[in-house]
This record gives sequence, C-alpha cells and structure tokens, in this order.
Amino acid sequence: MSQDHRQKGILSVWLISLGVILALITGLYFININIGIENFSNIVSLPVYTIIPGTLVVLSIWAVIKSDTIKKLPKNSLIFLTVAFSCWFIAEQTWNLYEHVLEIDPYPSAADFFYLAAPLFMFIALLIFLKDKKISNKSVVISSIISLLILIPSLIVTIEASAEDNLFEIIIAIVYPVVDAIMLVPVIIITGFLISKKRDFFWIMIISGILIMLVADTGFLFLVINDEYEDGHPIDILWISAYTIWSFMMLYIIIQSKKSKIEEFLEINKKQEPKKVERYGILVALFLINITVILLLSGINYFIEPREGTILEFFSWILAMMVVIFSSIVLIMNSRLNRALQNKTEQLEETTKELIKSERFSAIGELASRIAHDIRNPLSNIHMSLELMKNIPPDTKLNDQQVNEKLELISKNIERISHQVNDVLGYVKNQTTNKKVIKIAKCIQESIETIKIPHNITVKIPKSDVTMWADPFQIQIVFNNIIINAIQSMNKNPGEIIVRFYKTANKSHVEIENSGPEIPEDILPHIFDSLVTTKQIGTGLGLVSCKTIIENHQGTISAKNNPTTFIIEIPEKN
Amino acid sequence: MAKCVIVIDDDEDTVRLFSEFLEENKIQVVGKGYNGKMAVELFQEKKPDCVLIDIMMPNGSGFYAINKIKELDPGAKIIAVTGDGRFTTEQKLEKLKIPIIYKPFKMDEVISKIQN
Repeated sequence: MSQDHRQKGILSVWLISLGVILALITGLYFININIGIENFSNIVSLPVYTIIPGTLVVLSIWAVIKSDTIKKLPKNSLIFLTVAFSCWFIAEQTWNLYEHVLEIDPYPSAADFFYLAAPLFMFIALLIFLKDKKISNKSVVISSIISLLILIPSLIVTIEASAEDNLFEIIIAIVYPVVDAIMLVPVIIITGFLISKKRDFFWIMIISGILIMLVADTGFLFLVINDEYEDGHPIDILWISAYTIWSFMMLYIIIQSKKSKIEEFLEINKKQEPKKVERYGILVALFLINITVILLLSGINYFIEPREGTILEFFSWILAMMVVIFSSIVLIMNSRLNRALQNKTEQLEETTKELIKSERFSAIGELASRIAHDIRNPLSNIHMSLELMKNIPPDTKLNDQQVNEKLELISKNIERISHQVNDVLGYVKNQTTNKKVIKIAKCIQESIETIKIPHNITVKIPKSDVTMWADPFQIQIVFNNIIINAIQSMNKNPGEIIVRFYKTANKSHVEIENSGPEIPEDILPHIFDSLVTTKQIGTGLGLVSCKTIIENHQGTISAKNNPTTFIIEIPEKN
Repeated sequence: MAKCVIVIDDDEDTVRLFSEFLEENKIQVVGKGYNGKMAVELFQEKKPDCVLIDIMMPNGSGFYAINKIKELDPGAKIIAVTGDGRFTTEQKLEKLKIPIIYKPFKMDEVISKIQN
C-alpha cells in the first residue's frame, strides 16, 4: 500500500472511532434528559470528566516526550498545549471535587483559576505555531476586531448579571469571556491560514476543539445567568467533545511520529542518558506520586466530617504507607537495574574497543596486501627479465640492445619497489627533520630527475628561485609524490604540470598544478587520510607521508580542484 | 598446434615481458590489453585458447572481465595472474573455478597451466 493510501486509511479509522465515542457520550446524555438516569453525575459525569481530560494529559505528556520525532509541530508549542490541557484537567478535577464529592459551590475557587489559565497557555501555544508563518498585519487586525465584537455582548450580559456581586467576583466573571476572546484571535488567524494555505489535519482538529470549547463557555455563561444550568445538561457534551478530539489528535501525532527501529535506537542512546533518567526522571515521578497521594488524602480528611474520620483516617494511613512501600520497592529495583545497566555499558565499551582494534588490524591487513601486490608486480617483471636474459646467446655483448633493454627494465622496476618501500617507511617512521635554507626550484628539479617524466607531459618551473626553510631530503619526497600522482592521473594522456612558488612575510608557498582529471569531490576531503587512493596501484600512503612531512615542518598542505592543485605552505626560520 | 592466448595486465612492462616470454615458449600471443574492458573486447575479437588476466586493474577489474567472458563463452579458459594475495580474492576466484598464478611466477608453471 502506498504511503498516501495508508495515511488516508489511518485518517478515516481515526475519524470513525472519534465519531463513535462522541456519539456514545451524546447518547448517554440524551437518554438522561429524556428518560433520566439515576445518579447520573456519579455514574456518568464524574468518570467522564476524569477519564477523558486525564487521558488527554497523559497523551500530551507522551507527545512531549516524543516531540523530537514530531516534525510538523514545534516542541514549545506542544509543551504549552500540554500545560493548557493540564490546567483544564486540574480545573475539572477541582470542579468534580466541589460539585460531586463535597457538594459545595464556592465562587471564585481554585477551579476558576485553572479554567482561566488554560486558554492563556493555549494562546501561547498557538502563537508559537504561528511564529514562522508569514501572517499579515491585516489578518491580525481583522481577527482582533471579530473577537472583540463577539466579546462585547458577553461582557454586557456578564456585567448586568453580576451587579449584586462584590468587585472580585465581578472581575473573575469578566475575565472569563476576556480570556476566551484573547484565545479566539490566533484561532481565527490559524483558521484562515488552514483554509487558504495548508490543510493540516492536526491543527484543523485542535482548532475545532477550541471553537467547540468557546461555544460551550459562552453557552454556559448564558445558562448560568438564567440559572438554567444543572449537572448533566447537554452543554457538557461540548466540553467533553473538545477534550476527546484533542486526545485523539495527541494520539494521532504520537502514532504518526513513529520512526524506524534504528533511528529510535540512536535516539535513545543519544538523548536519554540512563543516569539522567534514573537520577531525575524516576525520582521526580515518585516524588510527585507521593505528594499527590498525601495531598489528596489530607484534603479528603480535612473536608469530610470528623465522625466519618476514623475509618477514613485508617485507610488514609494504610494508603500512604503502601505508597511509601511501593516507592521504596521501585527505588531498590531501579538501583539494581542501574547497576546491571552499568555492567552492560562497560561490556559494550569493551566490545567497541575490541571492534575498533580488529578494524585497525583489518586496515593493516589491507595495507599489507596492497604493499604485497605493489611489490610483487615489479618483482615479477625483474624475474621475467632475468629469465629471458638467460636465453640470450652466450656470446652476446653487454651493450647489446636486447640486453640493455632488459637491464633498464630491471632498474626501473627496482626503483618502483624502492619508491613503495619509501612510501611505507615515510608513513611508519616519524623521521627527524634536518632543516636548512634550500632553493625550491633546485629541489624540484632534482626531484624531477629521479622520476621518468613521459615525453608528452611538460613540467613548467619558474626560473627565478625562492628559498625555503626545510629538510631537502624530506621535501623531495613530498614533491616526488605529488608529481608522480599527477603523472599517473593523466593516464598516458598529454598534459602539463605547472609549479609556482612565492614568499610572503613569514612563509614560503609552493603550488603544484596539473592538467589531469579532478579529484572526485567525495575523496577530496579525505585525500590526506591513510589508505585513500584513486589508483589501482599505490599504497594510499603517499599523500599521508606528504602530510606528515609538511606537518613536521609546522607547515600545511592542501588540495583543490579546478584545476587540480596541491598547495604547500612552510614557515620561515624564526 | 601452438596455443594462442591474450595477455591482460595494467602494467605495460609486465605485458611486454610476459608476451615475449610466452612467444619464446611457442605460445602465440594474439592480443595485449591493459584493463578489463580491453580484455572482453580482445576475447570477442581474437577467440583465444586461453586468457591470462591480472585482477587488480583500473577501468573494469579482472573480475568484471572474467564474468563478462564467462557470459560470452561459459567454456572459456581463463587463468588469473596476480600479485593480489588476499584471501577474499582467492575465494572469489575459486568460486569461479579460475586457476591462479601468483606473481612472481615460475615459467614452467604458467606453460603447464596453459597447455592443460
């Protein structure tokens, strides 16, 4: 199945299950209104208002934990969404406590504080989402005006209705529609953005949730003013719908964020250091659980009448003790696990070290077989030359052309072997440098004399000479390597090698350019690393030796393309 | 009847000396090549009794040529003449049932391998 089809499949399953859940809840409320369900608030309202916002908070925290893998949503936006959802959750629980458990109706209460804080956090989350979207000032003004127009009637009604209240109560009552109006501004902007530019399923649903919430809040305001609201009123469905939609969307982005196993593994290794999880994560979680349980128990003990207190107190103590015991068990298990983890980590480190060692050995093996190959070839040529010379008639003179040709081949191949050996030695051995003032042109000239330059390749060296503070023997190895590489890269085609040198205040510069093919871009950055070679023959050590030598001179060597040029810089004598 | 062969090696000196040596031993060298691509072309053109081929070469390795030639003629006789002593190379060649001669080689070993 294609990715697109799968996405659509997931979406439709999502919408259907969301619809089913909402229909079920709506059904329950309608049955209650028409037939009447006994004890509706305890059977339906209380669990529904605990489970759904609770699920929402759990899912959004989960999403925050996974936020690094959620690409389309800024992490900070997600964090503020979670804070907003948590505020609503706390508000609902406080409301539940007053309404269904204590059966009191204080106003203003802690619940009001959280109800008012939630939209503000939601507002910040929406602003973060909008931050990098190019939103025109016009749309900000328009949405502010719309929101203000909606605010005015609510404000008038609220102020009229709360004429008899004290000032603090009036302020709280006014703040409700104001906060909603503030949240409405980015909601309108985002709605416009979603309609005109990018239809993003996640944000469409989040915004739908907010709009439902706003309608519910406004409806609630009018109901309360007319004294028509009671528990189980159908308007409750709206809030529940908003929470349900948001929960579904949180789960949706969590599922969407799934990565491949390898990525997940790397993520875990990179970001979640076990020590941090152990030291902070688990301790903080246990601390929060303990505090919550103890606070809840104290709260209940405080509010419930004293004559029932004896049994309640007894259970509270047992519950508190059990929480403490379970926490201790978790801590002990955690420290055991941590120790096991440490052992495993050490083992892993050990294995990694061994792996690196074996890799190094295999690199040495690779090098050895390359050297063997490169020495066997000339050796075989020498061997064949000698065998063929055996068959030359005994009275042949030493200066005979045939003899000469064979002798020359032998000498050339011996030179090849010695060059290979020098390469390796230059790599393995960190020679001491005997620096003195040398003439660059002369040094290059000498270096060229040891190399057989093909007749179709010209080497251009400036006539005016410049001095350099270097070890003549070692610098010659560098020039040799670069020039031989250049010749080999031209692959028997005609070409030229151009040498340039000059002096700046405290450095001598040499540039060796050749008309051969460019160094492949992927190899260029590694060209001075060991075992890198573009040639079938070659140890891949030539340029490594060059780099070692130049670095021993406190200088630098680099390579560039267009045209292929090696640049050497060596400091002057202090 | 004298056997005819083609010699493929990226080292020109090797090709020259090897050919000279084979000619002296009454083996006719009908083609000389310096890379895998040339080996395939020469094989098609000259239809030699035997292909003597190096393995580590630029522009189409020995393995490329061996596989191509085997595709063209599954019965083709190929001998790998190489300085590459890596175990992996040896294994690969064994799988392809290609006899190997390591450089530097004994002349009579080469002659007897070609003659058989």
